[in-house]
Amino acid sequence: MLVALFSMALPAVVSAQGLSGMTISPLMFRNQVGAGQKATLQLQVQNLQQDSLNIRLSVQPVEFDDWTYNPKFGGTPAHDCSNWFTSPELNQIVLPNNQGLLNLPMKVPHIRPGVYWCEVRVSPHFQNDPSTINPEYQIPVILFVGSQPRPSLKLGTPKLVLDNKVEQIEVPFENPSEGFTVIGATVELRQAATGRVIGTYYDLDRNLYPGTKRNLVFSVGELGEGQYLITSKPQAGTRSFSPMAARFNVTKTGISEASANETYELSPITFDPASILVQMPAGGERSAVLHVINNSSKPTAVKIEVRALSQGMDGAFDVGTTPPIGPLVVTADPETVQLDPGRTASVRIAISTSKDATGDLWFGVSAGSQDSHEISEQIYGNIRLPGGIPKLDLKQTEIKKIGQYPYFIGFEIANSGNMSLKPIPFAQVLEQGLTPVANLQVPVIGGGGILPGSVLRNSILLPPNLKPGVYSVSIKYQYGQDLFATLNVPITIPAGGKPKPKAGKAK
Amino acid sequence: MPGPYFFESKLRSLKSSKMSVMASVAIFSILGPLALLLVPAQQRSIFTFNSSQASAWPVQHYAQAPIIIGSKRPQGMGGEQVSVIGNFGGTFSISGIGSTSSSRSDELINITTNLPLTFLAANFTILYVGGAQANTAGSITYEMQLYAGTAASVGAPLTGAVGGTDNMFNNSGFSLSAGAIPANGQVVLRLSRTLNLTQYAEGANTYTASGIINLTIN
Repeated sequence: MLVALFSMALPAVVSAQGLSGMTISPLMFRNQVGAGQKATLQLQVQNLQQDSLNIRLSVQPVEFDDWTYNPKFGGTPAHDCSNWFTSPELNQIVLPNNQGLLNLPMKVPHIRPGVYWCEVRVSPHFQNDPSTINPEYQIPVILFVGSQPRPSLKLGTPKLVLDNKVEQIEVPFENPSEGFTVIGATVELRQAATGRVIGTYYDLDRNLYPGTKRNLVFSVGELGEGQYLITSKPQAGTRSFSPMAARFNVTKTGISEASANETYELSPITFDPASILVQMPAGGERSAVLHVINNSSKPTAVKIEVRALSQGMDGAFDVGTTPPIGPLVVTADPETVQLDPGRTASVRIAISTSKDATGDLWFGVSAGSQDSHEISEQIYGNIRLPGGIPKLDLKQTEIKKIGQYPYFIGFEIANSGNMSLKPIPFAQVLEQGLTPVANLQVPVIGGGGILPGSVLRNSILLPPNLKPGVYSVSIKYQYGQDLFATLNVPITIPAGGKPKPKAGKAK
Repeated sequence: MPGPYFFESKLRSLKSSKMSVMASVAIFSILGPLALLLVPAQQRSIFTFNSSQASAWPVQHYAQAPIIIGSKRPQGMGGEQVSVIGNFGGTFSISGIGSTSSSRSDELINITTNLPLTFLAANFTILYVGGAQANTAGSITYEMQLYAGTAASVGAPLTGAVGGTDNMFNNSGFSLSAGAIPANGQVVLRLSRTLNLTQYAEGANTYTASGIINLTIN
């Protein structure tokens, strides 16, 4: 999800009512482009002050240090796209209480398919601000040319480390492949002796570039002496992986491992086709043939398992550890195949449903080797039955405010029907509930699809420069020609709620 | 300015292109390697989602930032923003003659976010006076930490403190993970500066150090 509002203010200039300073949008570019194509990336800067704002912008090659992911500038990385920009440097004045559009035209060269990246460094400086320590926005530009290779990941067990006298958990990811993905993790910290949960932590939507290594870091504060159990559930793309656990001892002298660090790799086994889609009547029986391919250089025994499939609130799919339940029975035959290097085997997937089944049913199929350090390959299956009822519901969960100024609306999208849907989201701010004054971008969660029974979490940000008045924020998810889920959120910008006009002065 | 009716009409006009994509998906399903179980094209005008669309490795993932192709105008923005005001200081005016005393100043900077953020110190320098290096006169020790709450009401620390002296502060930083963001989205960044003077420091001078705090959602 790429929605953020990020405001910083000195105590002396904290606006009790609203935002101040400047806003910049977007915070990251991840775009599909075509070889030979001309395009323009555009940054929008809103100056909320009464001082002129000078924006200095530079597009630069970037690499990332292993594990810390600190950016390194000045190199010439192989996947650089900074030289695609025809005006890689820009200086622009944004007048007080005005908006500036910073255009970055580029020409994509005729280049081989893959992912290319660079970073836009934006240095804002308000007139009359004597500060010598300043913020700099670093906006990643990630451009996908043509079809993308599939990532090949290595996932490590979580680690408990000491950083500046404070314990923190690190969840390691390695991407030795040419494929790009985003990663996340949910982490649980327990006291090993009692099983008491000390805390749960999560992070998501972090970039993992090809050929890089990265830790996701979670600060846990100071821990007392004892043994601790850490369980991490990593995520990459829209796939959740099985939990990984590690134990650590915390003593006066430091932290020591109570269990070995392990690294897991994605299985070299693949399926063909990469998904199963079947339409059948209720009570019917069907079968499909899956080809299982051993892409490794060693013979292996492959175990095929049919499992329940669920979808998390961030849109990720999770293949469970038990067979699907309900009106669906799916079996694999054979359940184990012996495969020499480069060889393919056929597995029959038998599907049957009960007579009262309706709508869409889902399941996962996994193929794992006997190597316990390999993560099984997974594909998703979808059975379509008559009697599907499409229904989406939107529910407001929260409104966040800065002072009296509302800036964030959180909401849930629930698929309360029995069909799998891929809606198109829209949002507008309507003045007096009638006149549109702003179109808002609604993030697409996961791959954009919602399984029956799933609930996704989403949010939108409101423009920082709404004038005082009464508005209605209309959020719509269109999931058919005449099918809309609608959420109307009334908001009020109080008379004192407009952005604070004056910046603080430097010390 | 068009009213809500226009809004609805605009949505409807998107239907035809969307449905042709759906038809393509259905045709692909029919002609795909899983030919034993044919799936007739969906006739209902419903935006359905199927397993062939449920890739574990979507190319664009979640972000769909504005991009202008050819002469097309950008789509409406406003969903993604970052704003900043503030100063982190950097200048010390010294009166009196050189001393070994130190003075500390804390900047508490309010941040409101609903995204994971990374903070990183970069380009921090030694002391300068009038454009000339003045590291013999002293140094500045920095410390940075993130807390829940606001500058007026600082809450529990969300990260450990990181620090360093002069340019040794560079590459110090931390991440605010998505799960660590307080429910109201409000956190405080503390940047502390401690000036350590030597006997070579001269009064009536303005000593300056510069640096950058990088902010990224990376």
